[in-house]
Amino acid sequence: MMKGKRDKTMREMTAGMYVYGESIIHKAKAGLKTLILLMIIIIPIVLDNWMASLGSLIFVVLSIILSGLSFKYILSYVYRIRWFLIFILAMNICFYNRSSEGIIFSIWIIRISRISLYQGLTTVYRTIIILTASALYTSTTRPLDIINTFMIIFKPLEIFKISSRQIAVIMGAAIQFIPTLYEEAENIRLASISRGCELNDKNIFKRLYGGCRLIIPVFLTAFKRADELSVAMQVRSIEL
Amino acid sequence: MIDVKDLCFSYDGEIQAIQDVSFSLSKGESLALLGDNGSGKSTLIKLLAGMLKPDSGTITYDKSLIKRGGMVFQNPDNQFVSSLVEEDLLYGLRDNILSKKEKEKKVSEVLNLVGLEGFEKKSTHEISGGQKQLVAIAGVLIMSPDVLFLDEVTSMLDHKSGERIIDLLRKLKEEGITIIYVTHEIKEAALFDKILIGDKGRFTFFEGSDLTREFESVSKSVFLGKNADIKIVSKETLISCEKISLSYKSHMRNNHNNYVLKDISLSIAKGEFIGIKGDTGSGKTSLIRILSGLIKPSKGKVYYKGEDINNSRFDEKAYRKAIGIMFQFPDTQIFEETVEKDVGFGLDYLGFNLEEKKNNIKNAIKIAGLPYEKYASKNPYLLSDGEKRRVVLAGVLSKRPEIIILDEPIAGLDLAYRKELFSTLKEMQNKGKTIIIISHNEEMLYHYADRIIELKDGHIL
Repeated sequence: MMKGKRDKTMREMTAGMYVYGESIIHKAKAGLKTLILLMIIIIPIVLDNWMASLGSLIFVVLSIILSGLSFKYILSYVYRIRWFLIFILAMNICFYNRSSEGIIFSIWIIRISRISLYQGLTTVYRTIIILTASALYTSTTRPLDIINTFMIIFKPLEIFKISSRQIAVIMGAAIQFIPTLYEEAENIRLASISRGCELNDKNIFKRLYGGCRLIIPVFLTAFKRADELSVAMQVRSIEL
Repeated sequence: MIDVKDLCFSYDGEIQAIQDVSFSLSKGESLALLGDNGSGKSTLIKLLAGMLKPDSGTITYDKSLIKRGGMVFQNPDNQFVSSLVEEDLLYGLRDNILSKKEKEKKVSEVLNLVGLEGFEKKSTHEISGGQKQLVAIAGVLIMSPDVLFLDEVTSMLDHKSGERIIDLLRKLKEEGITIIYVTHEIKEAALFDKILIGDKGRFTFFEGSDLTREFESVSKSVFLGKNADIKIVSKETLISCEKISLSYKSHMRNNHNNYVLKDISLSIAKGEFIGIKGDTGSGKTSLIRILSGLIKPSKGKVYYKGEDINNSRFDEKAYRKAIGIMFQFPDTQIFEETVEKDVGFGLDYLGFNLEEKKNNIKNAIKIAGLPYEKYASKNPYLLSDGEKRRVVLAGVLSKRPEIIILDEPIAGLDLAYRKELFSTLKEMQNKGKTIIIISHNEEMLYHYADRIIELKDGHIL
């Protein structure tokens, strides 16, 4: 069995929740931070050039430095989905280019070209930037400020009689719930390992099989948690 | 004034959960709902709080005195809207017309009232279980309720934290707040003005100081068992650890490491019954997770029969087979859609053949106190909390482990189950098993354990 997989404590891995701080990033208005986050997501896609991508990277790195948060903590977001990122990279590199231009390597249905390499690397790079910026946003913005900002963003939906407040509270609670759900998933993982499940095995298929068996318990726990939270929110104050 | 008359309630019109309950309560009085698991006390408090509608009968509140209520549940983690204490409390004031400064002042006042001065900027993930429950109560108090509904709020807390909550309730009662409190701790119920004792949906009403005295004497005789004579167990050391520490890095760059455990050394002999106690957040769960090899210590070594369990040559599979660990919350330890399959989860990986697997599952379900025929095909997710715990225990026992580790197995469960579980564990010890159990219930630990390890702030006392 694989060693060295068990050296993280749960508290170390709960990135995403608000971390109290007095930095300029913490104190900046939530609305401004939301606007900048949206710009970081949209501008590199719209402009599609290296200047915009490099600019967003520099901006995010500087913001992390100014926030006082540790890089390790913020980047743990990216680390958690490393296998997903590798999968995106591999899929883009192998299958993006269907034309015969600039082929570097080809076997069966796999065609690796300069275009597909560029596409794969750009997609993963942008995803990392978006994840890191989002992690910084949720770690430095108070949950109630996030809810209030979302309420303003979704205000136009009220024309269609959709409550902007409800959507904002749901989104705010969902963001805050990510670390809790992660802890639950971690508990389920440890419980299954203790029962003999081979989630740390060197054989990737055994690990995948073991992991798939945990999907239902994780979802059920998440639904139960969500239900309990909604009830707890409702009964904080009861009109008798 | 709260007036309840002939209250009846059933789930899906079938199971009669509440039958003809009548009582009255004046403003500022306290009421305890006492009973075993399944007695209907949680259903009753939900009916009183208006979360469920009765099938028949009435609940009348004198609206001139009692207008608003607030409810707090067993698990504080499921009640936080925000990860920051101040933000969580401010959520209750979101519709209030007070200015930001006035709201913040109110937050400080409520935190002072519950004894958590200066906790405004703390994260709800980093405070202890007792403190979390106090924050959850503060979250309700900030909305100035006339009645406080509390559903087993101390069942997951250590003795000290539980006492702190009870002290707070006394203070709140003096301030005129009516308190309705669900518990199955007789000694807690005895502290209330009135007590409703439930049994399968029927409740008997008691009041008066005579009864309180009677309950105090009962509680003493039931709970304060003498420590069992310390047995001389085998001298063979089974598990030991040498100066283990566990730390996690702060999220901020300039802060130092935070220690969960620091320089813990201990050895456990084969056949010992070890109790581990300590305040919430003292490092108990981390310690057993390290001992069972599920997490690696930041420093120090853990040995099983003299071998370092974190060494790359150590046979981890054999260790998984030898050690059975049950965590606190059953929901995170259920993996399959039937009890039989769930109990057998993991046995294939550990190399049991089909016949062994079948026998082990049957035996384990029986030892856990569930009739096999009745439960084998049931969906474990749909069972009660007490039944789920038994299923999880059966799952742990199905691999016939040499060492059984249980993390708070009796939290929130009634006295009958607690006694039954501890007796079963004692029997297993007599058959040579090593038992390590974390519990806030000191009386049970002193009664059954050979040795008690107390942790405080990551150190052994």
